[in-house]
Amino acid sequence: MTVAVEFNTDLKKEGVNQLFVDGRIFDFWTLIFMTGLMMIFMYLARKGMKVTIRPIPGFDAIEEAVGRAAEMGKPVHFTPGFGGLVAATFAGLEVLRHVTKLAAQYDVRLIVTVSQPETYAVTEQVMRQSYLEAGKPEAFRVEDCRFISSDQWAYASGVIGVLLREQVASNIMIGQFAAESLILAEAGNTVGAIQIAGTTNAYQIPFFVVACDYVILGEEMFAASAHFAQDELHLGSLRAEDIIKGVSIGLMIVGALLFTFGNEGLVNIMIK
Amino acid sequence: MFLKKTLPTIIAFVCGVTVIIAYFFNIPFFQTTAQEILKWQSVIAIFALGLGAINIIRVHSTNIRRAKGKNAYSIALLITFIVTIVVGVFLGQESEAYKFIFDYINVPTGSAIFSLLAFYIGTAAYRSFRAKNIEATILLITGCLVMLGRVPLGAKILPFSVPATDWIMSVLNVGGQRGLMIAGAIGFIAVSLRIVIGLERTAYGGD
Amino acid sequence: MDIFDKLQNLDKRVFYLLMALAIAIPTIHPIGLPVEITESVREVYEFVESLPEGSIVVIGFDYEPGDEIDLNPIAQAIFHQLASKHIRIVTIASFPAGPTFADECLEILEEYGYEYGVDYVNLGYYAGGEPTLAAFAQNPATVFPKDWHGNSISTLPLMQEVKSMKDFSMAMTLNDGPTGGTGTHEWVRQAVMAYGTPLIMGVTGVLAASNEPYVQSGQCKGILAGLRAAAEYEKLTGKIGTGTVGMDAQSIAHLLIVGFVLLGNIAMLVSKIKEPKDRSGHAGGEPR
Repeated sequence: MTVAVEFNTDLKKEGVNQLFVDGRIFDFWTLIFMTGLMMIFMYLARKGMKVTIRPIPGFDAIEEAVGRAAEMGKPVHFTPGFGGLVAATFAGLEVLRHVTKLAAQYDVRLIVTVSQPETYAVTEQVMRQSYLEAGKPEAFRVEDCRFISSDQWAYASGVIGVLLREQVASNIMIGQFAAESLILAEAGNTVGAIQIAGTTNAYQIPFFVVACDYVILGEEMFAASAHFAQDELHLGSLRAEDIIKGVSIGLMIVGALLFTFGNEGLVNIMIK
Repeated sequence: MFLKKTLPTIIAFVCGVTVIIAYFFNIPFFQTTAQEILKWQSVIAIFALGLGAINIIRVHSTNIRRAKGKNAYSIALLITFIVTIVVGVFLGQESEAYKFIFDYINVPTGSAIFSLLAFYIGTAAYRSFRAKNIEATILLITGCLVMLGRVPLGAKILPFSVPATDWIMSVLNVGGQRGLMIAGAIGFIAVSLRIVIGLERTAYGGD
Repeated sequence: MDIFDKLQNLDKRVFYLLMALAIAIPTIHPIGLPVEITESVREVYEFVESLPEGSIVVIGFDYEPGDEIDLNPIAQAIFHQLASKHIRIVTIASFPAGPTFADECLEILEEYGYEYGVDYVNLGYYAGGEPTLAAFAQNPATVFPKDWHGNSISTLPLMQEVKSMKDFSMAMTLNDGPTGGTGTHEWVRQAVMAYGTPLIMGVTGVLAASNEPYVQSGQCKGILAGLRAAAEYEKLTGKIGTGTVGMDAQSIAHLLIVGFVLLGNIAMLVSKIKEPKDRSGHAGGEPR
């Protein structure tokens, strides 16, 4: 995982914005606004504010997928994707918690394949804990949480091998995916598995849409913890995200109108 | 409980806040500390690679034992795994043997897997581009237009496909992707904030 | 099952065989289909033409095996144009396979009389992603004390003229998106925003839309996306290469896919018309 920052340890800048790094003042206040909004709505949700979330077909289908595997006597395959420990992978691991508990409940074998070594360590911990919480710690098998490779194509071929050899009944792919997404989805289709997929990479979503039965589009993945846990804090955070999206849309409309009529005021504020 | 849940949360909070402050402010202490944290992140990732290697050996050794030595793929994997490590460590990455493994095994096999996309895209399109409803019909028409507009032969057969492709890709496609990217970025920030403040405990095995 | 049902559910292996032939035959015997130049490619060409002769550019080979099919032809086409203006080239890579691809592409410079160390240098692979790119932009020698071939930087005349990203008249990233190394976003931050160095992008075809905003906002000078862009660039430079040959194969492959898609839809339509509806009004099964 790489963090997209450049740190200036050689401070020789003069001028008004010496405290702030150039070009990040608006970003900072945006972050403060978002954090504040999330805190407020989490507090309100805890105080009893009702937050409903719309059904997300992909998440609702997960129980169907695990049930199908139980009926067919075949395993479920899950992969949190090719990315390292990024937010999309965390969203995938939240889904994995739920899938693991269902697998324990339905007595279905769950095989998890992982691409990055740091993700592997976390994934194994998530699986162990989830089996424990489901009351079946003995159901966890170390060989069912497999580190494949951090090389993209080695990872893809390893997952194809797992899907074809184990003849999985259900293939759940939620996390960060790159060009290997269609290869994995088609391999799952070859074995006749029901497929649920989700990624935040906008240019891989179309491949999942054509090849999978259910697709969780982009930021719907981040609603996983709220959807499964129905926890007030997560629901409040989700409500805050929706408001932030509304504000973003408003800014886009206002900015587009202003820019169209030759006013760059908003643009100049945003690039400070 | 303190070591498994509370301590990791504290570490995540301190590291997260430090990096965030260093990103926005020119404060030397935070800048230096954030750089150190990133270096440690790389070190931890390398150690995690060792865990992954152990897992590979364990999984495939179990496969070989259970299949009584008849599992050719696991045997091949372990042999190439060990040979590559020995060559890399003892002969070095500049050695002819290591370059041979990389140039004549790693690169071509990666390209071979990538090339499967050409076949899989075709079968996925053949299966999915069916005019079953309005949305599927729109997908069918735009998909075919773009496929024709992106190649010279298609442009000759249907000249209209070229400007149509440009418009679809630069207006419709970009607009849709920007929406997904912006919403995804907001979700990223929300999840990251939840991790930093200790609300998202998935990585520690849950609540 | 009649012929139309069979056409809706063709064996995949038939398609695989036809696709293999559709790609192999034009590759072995190129057809030479004419390529139209698009505005986006022409913009990049004209920008590169405007670079001062003898200036220095940096090219990032930020992709893994598998992506060289799209990106190597772009690199080679650009190198032909740069070499025709005797623009000197420094290459770096954020993926382990990058320096190998750079060496392959840099071979074409020999026909222009380029000398290693004087006119071009392959610095090699750097780990660590954007922070390392930032360090390179600040002072390349701190990241690369030696080049890919083990030569000390102090012995390479070209590198004596490069003290920071500011000394490059152009930067270019050849990448396949956020797959672990540095991509467009990182280069925009570290080259364009930090040093004002103009940036052009070479990306795989699927990334064209997601990188287009950088061009539209003016942060990047242009984008070359996919094999088609390589073919167009080859036409502009007059040096036909793998891009043009690849377009022949891509043309036939695309037509094959469109043909199969239309065949499947026609078969589905005819089946719907022919089959009697059941009580629920549903006509025919869904192919899988």
